[in-house]
Amino acid sequence: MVQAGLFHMILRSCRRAVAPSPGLVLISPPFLYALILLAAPIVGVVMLSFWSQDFLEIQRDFTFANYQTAWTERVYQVLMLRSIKVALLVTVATVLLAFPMAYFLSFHIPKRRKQLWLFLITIPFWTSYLVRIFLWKVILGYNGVINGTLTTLGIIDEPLRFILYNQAAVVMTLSHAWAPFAVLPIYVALEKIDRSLLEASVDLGDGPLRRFFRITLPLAMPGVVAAVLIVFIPTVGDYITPNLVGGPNGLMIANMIEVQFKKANNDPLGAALALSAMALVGTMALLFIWATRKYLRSPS
Amino acid sequence: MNNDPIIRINRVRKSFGPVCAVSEVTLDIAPGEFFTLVGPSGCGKTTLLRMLAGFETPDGGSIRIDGTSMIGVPANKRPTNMVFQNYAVFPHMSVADNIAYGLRAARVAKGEIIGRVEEALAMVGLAGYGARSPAALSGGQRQRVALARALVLRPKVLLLDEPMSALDKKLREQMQVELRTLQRTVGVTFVLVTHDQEEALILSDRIAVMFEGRIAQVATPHDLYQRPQSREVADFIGVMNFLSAHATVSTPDGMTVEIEGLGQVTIPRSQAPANLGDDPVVGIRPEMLTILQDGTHAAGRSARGSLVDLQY
Ligand SMILES: Nc1ncnc2c1ncn2[C@@H]1O[C@H](COP(=O)(O)OP(=O)(O)OP(=O)(O)O)[C@@H](O)[C@H]1O
Ligand SMILES: [Mg+2]
Repeated sequence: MVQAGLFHMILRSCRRAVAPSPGLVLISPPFLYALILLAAPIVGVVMLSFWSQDFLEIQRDFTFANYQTAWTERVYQVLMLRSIKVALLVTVATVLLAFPMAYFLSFHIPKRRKQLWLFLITIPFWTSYLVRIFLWKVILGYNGVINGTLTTLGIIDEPLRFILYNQAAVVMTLSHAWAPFAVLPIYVALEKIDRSLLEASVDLGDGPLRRFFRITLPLAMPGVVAAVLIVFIPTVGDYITPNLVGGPNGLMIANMIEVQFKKANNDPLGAALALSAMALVGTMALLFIWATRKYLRSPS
Repeated sequence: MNNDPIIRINRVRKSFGPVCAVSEVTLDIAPGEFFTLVGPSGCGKTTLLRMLAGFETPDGGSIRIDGTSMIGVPANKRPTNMVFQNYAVFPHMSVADNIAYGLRAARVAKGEIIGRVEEALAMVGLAGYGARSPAALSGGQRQRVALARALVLRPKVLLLDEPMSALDKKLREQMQVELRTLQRTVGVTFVLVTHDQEEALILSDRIAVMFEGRIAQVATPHDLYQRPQSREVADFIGVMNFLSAHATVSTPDGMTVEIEGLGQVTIPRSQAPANLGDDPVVGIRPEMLTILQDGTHAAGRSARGSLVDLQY
């Protein structure tokens, strides 16, 4: 999204670039920054993915072999599909959790308290991502908060094992980690809805539920779409959470990419896997934007 | 048409915290009437209208519409529809979908919806605009969509909150004429809120003037202009010169008063309320004054003066 915005800005600036435009001058430092830190490594990874590893050396002959391995071997297919499945689950869970929060914040908090509430929503960011993941380990673990409570209450005799080190734990941890990122865009979209539209809907005969589906939700869609993309895209590539709470069946494609670059010492295959995941995620994101395009047209 | 009022407002009150927006308003509105609430900003017009629509709950008093008490009836179950100040046209729907909105809410059959939407579009002069997006419409056209969207539901009462305030002067005058014609054609009771006294005088069958949450006078435009019942109303509607006077003789035909600096003037009974006391205030509309040549004056109806300045 950032890249697309940047690209647009550059394009627009180029059209008027007969005379040096102040816009172009203004964006040149971030543009250079983006070029060096974003474009250059990607070009490097793309090149790497078409080479091959010969023990410790990189063979610089052009080959599709890495992509063939990445797309045909069972283990990579399984991990790729699992990553996407987990990311979809995380996205759905996060957006379903975030929407009521954003709705409550936008519609039921008096104006003068909204700033305070927004501030409270950012509190989870005060602790590091890693600390939050470890907290979930403490909550879900064998001797953790949930098991401890349930055992003490006599509801279970033995600690539950199925709540940690699996995909469900990954989904839970990530949905919690992403929640504020999803709340904010949805909140902004809800705030932008002209309240007289909601009154008009009731005036024309809709009850609260039908009004929600005919007016509130369609008008909040830009925020929902933004939230989905913000959560979905990085989740597919997450490898820390699956590593810490996922157990063997919770590992995802990014863990495999890490393995290729480190233990397996096959950088080209790692690069091909990374680019394949990127292409897949990019395609899915574009398809999603295309499918929801009718809600994204900005009304004037 | 029977003569029972379509709207009966009885001693309605509404406060927002310490602010008393509407206090003890009692008002009857007849079916088919074009009724206007006019008054300065903040006098409670919108609040009263929103209580009719069901968006505000009165603190006390009763509202009956078409013989049914509206206490506890939510806005979506009332026989009223509203045209909002900013029109509140749904931006994510076409013009036709906007107009069909209420019909769909009422689960009218699909085939019937199409016909009624066409009819409503034609009524407001937007035939052929159904597929357009509201973003592609001008302010005046959006207002027509809002009107069509409300009227297509055949409400008993149409409520309009300052519908003209977002339009430029020229368009406003044109829409005023159209609104009046439309109201006569459909025969629906219109309750209009405006702070523009000129608009109120042009459009209405009857006008209620509000000040600080109270109704100061309810009258036809003619009576309101010719016989305002208080100085406040006289001051708000049109331009009026105020002169202090002494009552001298009161006869069944009229009242002779001594106006400071102008001498004696006789006012016909119809223009002078009874029990005015000894020191009434006399109001004169500027257009009622005629400048005459010296010496041609009629006794008791004119006064001497000198012309100081002349503007067109
Ligand atoms: N939701 C609200 N909360 C608090 N005070 C309100 C609210 N709505 C209206 N008021 C107050 O009630 C009084 C009447 O407001 P109202 O909107 O009815 O006035 P109005 O006659 O429509 O004015 P205008 O011509 O400016 O639209 C005002 O003093 C206003 O500040
Ligand atoms: Mg108002």
